Amino acid sequence: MNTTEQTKEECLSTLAHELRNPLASIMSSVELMRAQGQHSEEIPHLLEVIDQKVITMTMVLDNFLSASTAGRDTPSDEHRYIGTSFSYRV
Amino acid sequence: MRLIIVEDESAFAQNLKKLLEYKGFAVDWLPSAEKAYNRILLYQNEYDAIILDLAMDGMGGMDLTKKLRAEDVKVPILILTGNSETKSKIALLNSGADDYIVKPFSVDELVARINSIMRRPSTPLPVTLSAGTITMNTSARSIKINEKDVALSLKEYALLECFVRHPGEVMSREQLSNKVWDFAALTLSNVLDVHMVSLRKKIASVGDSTRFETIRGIGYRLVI
Repeated sequence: MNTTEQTKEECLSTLAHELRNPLASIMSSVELMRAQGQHSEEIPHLLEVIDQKVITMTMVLDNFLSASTAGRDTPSDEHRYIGTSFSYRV
Repeated sequence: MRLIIVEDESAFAQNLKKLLEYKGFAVDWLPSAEKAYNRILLYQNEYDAIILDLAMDGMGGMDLTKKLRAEDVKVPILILTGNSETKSKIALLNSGADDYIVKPFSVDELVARINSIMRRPSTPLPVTLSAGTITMNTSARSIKINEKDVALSLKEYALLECFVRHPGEVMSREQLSNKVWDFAALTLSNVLDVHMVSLRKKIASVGDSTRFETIRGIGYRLVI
């Protein structure tokens, strides 16, 4: 494997790792809501956790895409989409 | 069965603690590997399994595993990891962990893995535990007494499992409390006695002669 491929693989591995942690919080929140039922007093808190983690994931993706497009004149369509999505949420 | 979770992501750890408690485990949670190291060394006999996050601020799950194994702690260790690469998984297993699970995961898979590592300590334990007329399937969490199905609450099940694993032995109140409730529970109250009364009634309801002897000032003993 050449240096470029190795760097690319390491970047993707880091991205996957950074996304898996907030995904775990989202998944456990959903499982807890299912376990507790729709009348649980914890639902607002769990929705807040999900919301926070979605923002975290969006930021991770945004940063990743910023880094991957550094040096280019214009961002990719995907980058524009993620950036817009994140701005809207914040 | 009692578990300790070491995870610095508070929201995730609290969700996991509640989900595992719904499955019948007593769960303690500590947010740092440094605190966990001291607690586990002091109270290792109280835990049936340790669940560690791989990536934590300060000491991580792999270093904690190595330190615990260096101190001859034999409690099964399962590591939660966000890294799905093969070389990372191999490094975890070689550090002394018994198993790993890649995030995100369902709690049912986690429970299956916990049960799996708890069945393979130094002396292998079977899925089915028996004592006298009592048969427990630890995988299905089902109980038969005199060949009849008996429905128990999570805490009653956990108490009975302690006795079935140690038939004829006197189990102190402290031992039972430590295995069934987490360290935040009020173990000095009569919660244990209330659950024992309920357990006795349910066993008697299927006409079984199995009984729990009260050892005054100490605890209880399963008499077969």
